[in-house]
Amino acid sequence: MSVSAYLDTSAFLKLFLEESESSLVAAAIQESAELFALRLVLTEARVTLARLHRMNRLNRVGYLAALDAVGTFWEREIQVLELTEDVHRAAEHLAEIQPGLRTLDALHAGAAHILCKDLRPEPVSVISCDDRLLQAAAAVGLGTPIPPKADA
Amino acid sequence: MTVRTIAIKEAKDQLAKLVRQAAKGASTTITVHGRPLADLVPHVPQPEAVRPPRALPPRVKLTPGPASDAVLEDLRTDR
Repeated sequence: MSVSAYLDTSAFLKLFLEESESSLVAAAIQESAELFALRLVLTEARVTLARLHRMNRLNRVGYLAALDAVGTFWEREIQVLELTEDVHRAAEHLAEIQPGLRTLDALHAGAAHILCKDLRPEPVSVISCDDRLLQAAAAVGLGTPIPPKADA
Repeated sequence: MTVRTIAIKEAKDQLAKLVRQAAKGASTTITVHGRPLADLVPHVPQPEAVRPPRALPPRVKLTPGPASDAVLEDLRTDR
């Protein structure tokens, strides 16, 4: 059975930046039939790229190339999820059972949880490089093809 | 396994049984006015279509420093 994946910002960014987990993320998304993400991922990705540029971690050419690639990939590959009332409720529930889960982590985990309910019986995994989000995803039975760093 | 031949009227009355037999590998030819017109055969699952790999963009190099997820983490904590 094909696996759909929720892609959070920490993993999404690695598709455009050369970093230690970039190849792992690329392999995980090639294994996924469909890719889903909250619209929030696009905003967080663009804000993070802008911060990296201001920190001189990305020169102007690299920054513009990454922004362009983000927009193209988003349009072509991502099925966009919105922050519905169900997502908010799931996030609030997850934050209650997972101490230390912050608001934005909880919203991403909540979106993945609702996606899993909507696509059942098709399995859903969460592709992320954020340990808190991965632990929250695992706690509600979602697959995590990239394990938390704490487990590595 | 042998192929059984059965008239359509009889097949209609026994359809559930014929399907169960097909699931075990039996084939049945259905006739109309004595002419064989259809075969009820075991289902053969089709392999899933192979999806071509996604085209990934060339990755941009960062100058040395904290990983992008650490920068994202700072932004999420609004530091």
